[in-house]
Amino acid sequence: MAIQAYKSTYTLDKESVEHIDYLAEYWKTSKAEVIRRCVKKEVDRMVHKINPISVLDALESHPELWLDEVALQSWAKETEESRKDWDR
Amino acid sequence: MGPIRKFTHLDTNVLIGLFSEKGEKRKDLRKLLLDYHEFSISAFVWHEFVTGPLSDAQKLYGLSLVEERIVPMDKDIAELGAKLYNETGRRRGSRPDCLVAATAIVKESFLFTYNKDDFSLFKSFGLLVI
Repeated sequence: MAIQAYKSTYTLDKESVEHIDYLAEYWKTSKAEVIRRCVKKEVDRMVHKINPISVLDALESHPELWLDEVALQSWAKETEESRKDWDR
Repeated sequence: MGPIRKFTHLDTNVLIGLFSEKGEKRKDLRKLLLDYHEFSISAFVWHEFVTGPLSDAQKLYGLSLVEERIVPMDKDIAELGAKLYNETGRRRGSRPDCLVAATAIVKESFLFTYNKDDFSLFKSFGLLVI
């Protein structure tokens, strides 16, 4: 299926133009494709970014990610003790 | 005008508490987030955290909690850490706490830790402990 294409004009600084040229050559593709890939990558990153509250929500509903209290306390104690040993 | 955001550095013991069976430490974090705190950690705390018995998924949860804000040590942090170390008696084993405290002070953040006693000496240098 053909992708609908739109022609747009933007003004870019010299460095950005050089980066697009470089990536087009490196990826062996068109400059338009370079811009499309970079925009998609950033949008994907924003969409899939997990916010901190949802991290806590997810941890509440995934007990398989919890550590048993003995292991947890042992790890916390080891961390604290390793700080105290720093200068030894 | 929106709510005032507060910046808070987390200590390693707080990150470790993420995976507690009890969930009380997650409640502490949720309370702060709902009060518009934004979390970050020092590179040293991240180092301690990933030293632990964690899967890649658990590490990702830790990283996402702080929205990937890991603060590297720079000149200001190194120098303030040295000042804290020297001016609190050059105590053996206090160097990591000095660097963690210095990171929070330089970044004008609160420090959220469960070892409040270890950090109380740094309050007079501007450290705000939660």
